[in-house]
Amino acid sequence: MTPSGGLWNGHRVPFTLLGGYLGAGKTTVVNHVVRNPLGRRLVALVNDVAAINVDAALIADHVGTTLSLTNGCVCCAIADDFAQTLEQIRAMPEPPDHVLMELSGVGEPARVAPWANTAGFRLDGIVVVADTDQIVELADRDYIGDTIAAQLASADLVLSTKADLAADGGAAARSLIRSITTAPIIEVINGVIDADVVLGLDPPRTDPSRTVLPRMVPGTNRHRAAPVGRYETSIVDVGAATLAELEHLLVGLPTDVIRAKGLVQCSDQVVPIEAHAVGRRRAVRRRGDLDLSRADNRLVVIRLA
Amino acid sequence: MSQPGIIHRARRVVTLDHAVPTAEAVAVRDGVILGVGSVEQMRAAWGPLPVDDTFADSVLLPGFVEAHSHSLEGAIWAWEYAGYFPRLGPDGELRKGCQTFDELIDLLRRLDAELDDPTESLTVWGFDPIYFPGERLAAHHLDVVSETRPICVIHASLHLITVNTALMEREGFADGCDVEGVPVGGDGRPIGELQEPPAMSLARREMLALWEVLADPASLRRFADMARVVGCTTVTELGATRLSTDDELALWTDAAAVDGFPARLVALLNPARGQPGTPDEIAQHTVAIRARSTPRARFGVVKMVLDGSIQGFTARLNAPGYLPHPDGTQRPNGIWLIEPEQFSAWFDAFHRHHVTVHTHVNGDQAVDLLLDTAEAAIASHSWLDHRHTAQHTQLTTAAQYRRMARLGMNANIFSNHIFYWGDQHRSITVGPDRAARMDACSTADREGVRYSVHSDASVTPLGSLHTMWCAVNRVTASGDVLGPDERISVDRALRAVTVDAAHQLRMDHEIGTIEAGKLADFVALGEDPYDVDPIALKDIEVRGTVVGGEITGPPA
Ligand SMILES: [Zn+2]
Repeated sequence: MTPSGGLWNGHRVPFTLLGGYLGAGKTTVVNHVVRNPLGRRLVALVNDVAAINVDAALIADHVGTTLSLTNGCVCCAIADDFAQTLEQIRAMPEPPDHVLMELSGVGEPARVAPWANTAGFRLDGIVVVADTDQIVELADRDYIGDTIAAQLASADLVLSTKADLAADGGAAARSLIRSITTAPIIEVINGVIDADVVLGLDPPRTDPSRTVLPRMVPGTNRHRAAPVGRYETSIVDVGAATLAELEHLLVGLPTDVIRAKGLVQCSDQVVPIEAHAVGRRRAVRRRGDLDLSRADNRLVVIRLA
Repeated sequence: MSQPGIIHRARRVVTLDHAVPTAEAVAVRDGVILGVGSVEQMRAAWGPLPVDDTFADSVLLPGFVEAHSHSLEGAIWAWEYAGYFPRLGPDGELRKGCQTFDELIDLLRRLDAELDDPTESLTVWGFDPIYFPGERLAAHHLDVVSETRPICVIHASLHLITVNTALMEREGFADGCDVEGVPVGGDGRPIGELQEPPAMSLARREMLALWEVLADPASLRRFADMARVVGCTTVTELGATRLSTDDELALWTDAAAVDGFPARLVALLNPARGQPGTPDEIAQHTVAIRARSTPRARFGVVKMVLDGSIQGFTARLNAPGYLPHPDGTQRPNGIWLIEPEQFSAWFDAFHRHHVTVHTHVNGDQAVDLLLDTAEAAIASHSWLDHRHTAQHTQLTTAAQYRRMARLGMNANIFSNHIFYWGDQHRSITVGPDRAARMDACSTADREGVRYSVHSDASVTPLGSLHTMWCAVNRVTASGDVLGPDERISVDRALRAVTVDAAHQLRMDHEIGTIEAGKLADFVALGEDPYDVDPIALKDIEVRGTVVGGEITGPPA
């Protein structure tokens, strides 16, 4: 059943939460993804629009706290409560391809996550940014140590920034993060990371010609290419699995899987089943809104190289 | 042009001014108090002024000052009240409430019949499931009222709503829903209860309407009307509003400029609510908007929020933290709403620009962070009369109050909690010992901290007599006395809701006592609070208020 209000005819926009303390590099990551959205119409919800270095030329018009970008990006400052901010997105005549929400430095993603599943949205995953050089000290700091640990514990993926600056090559940070979570740790240099890693493998709705294959190193990057060799992509053929077998396969994917995505015609189901992994988060969903013919029975998997 | 003035004769004028504690009459001209004394003394001093006997049988006190409330208290009356207890509305009429499910259904049927548009939704508020332990309100109860009109029942906690099937169908989740906080029945369909704000947001139009009504000047009028009904002449909006743009400021000044507006509104700026700029620029903006203040709409004080609530397990506690879950597992500590660095940057800028900062600190760890931050700011810039205030300050220890006193800070203590959640604090959140020292007015007195007590309306109902009653008696909803040693005297409580509340709003030179030169803001009571049994404080009749010399009236 679709809402009578027509909220995008039942389509639910993938919604990624980006957590991490002040100075971890969240803004740098958002900046990079906003500039290199790989064809997505992206809505980035940020704590401070001024901190996002969107070129003035990209901005078509400026209404209140909402920036409409010609390049297909929208930035909102999270000025008010989540409810009102999300209503601003729901009011868009066309759904965006993806929503990326930057939390405050003390935001605990697990507590915010229910919002990412509300009307018009579905939780894609939780990405937490940790400053390699700072995280060990932060996790031990008065007042906020347990908040830092809670952020890491809720992560599906950990982006470890400024690894090149750490004296020990990031060994202490890695061991701290590993003591809290088994989520894949991706090292990020200069905030350069592929949007497909942060946002997943959803094809943009506005560009049907785009394949579901990730573009690992887009040549159009205006800064520098994503570091080559950090990830590898593979295709897993699912065949004619039952739903239970698909779930089993998904849960059994290795722990270093960063992203996996596929649309499968399960032998015991009448609607296509979407298989979806973001680091530790593994889920299958019935996609009654999609045609069975779109199911190609394979998973695209991005792993740490 | 100056008016001739008037003398209000009362059964007694209780001034809270130590020089003239009681009098027969108070003389007023141009909204300002000329003097207090006998009618004869006033005439001898100020000439043959007319005598008004409106309050001849009443006791006049300084109008109550609610130093921590929210305008939602007025906004919510856009819809009908459906709570368990009888409650006065902003029109002064008593709503009898709903003591049974049948009464709730009858109320909804009556309201349903009043609506013409069959698609217009019907919202009521204040429903409290705690008083209906036998049965859980669900969609099927509400479907009896209408199968086509969306119905939304907002619970008293404001963290829960119950909706009917028509509403779920309109939003497309009547058959199932994967949002957290949407319980389903045996058939896998949602039962109609939406728990916590993410799930509540599924009732999109009703929740949007709630946001919209907050920006409606009529809500501020109802807020002031509500204040009049309970005897408050000054009420506050503690930082839940935005005060950036001209329009946002004009909402307050225009609403309060209407003739006969029955209260003074003090709206505090919250830098975390989308206020653009560096800390310095935000502090300068706060100073600048002081000049936009009008007699009945005031700006220029700041509010920040550090942690959550104790009953929601989101306040930040020092060891040993919350009691464990019933199954023995440890509860995590609560949440921070601002990074310590950001809080410090804002606090320091406000302090340097001489802007008083009120900080929401429910848990004792949040109090520590406030004290550390305030101490650094106060040490780096000399401003002796800062009046920085700890708000709620519910678990503050004697050691923290000693530190607060040395730093020259104030407190605003959430005494209403003792009645509304005291039983739960004792058994579920912190245990009997820490519950006994919650909202520790007597300790604050002993350690030398000036304080007010508050309702945080609409978290609990607005009403200074009730808040005083809580601080004086410390009686919980179940009838027990929680921490009897923290009880305070009627005199102390009365000062807390008048002059000491005014002090932390930087208005004690204008309001809070009845003395010559101050604004003529009074409350007229049926009894003298000093004369009644303290347990009857909350039942004293409020007969009216005077704001700026004008006797306020019910809404037209
Ligand atoms: Zn409040």
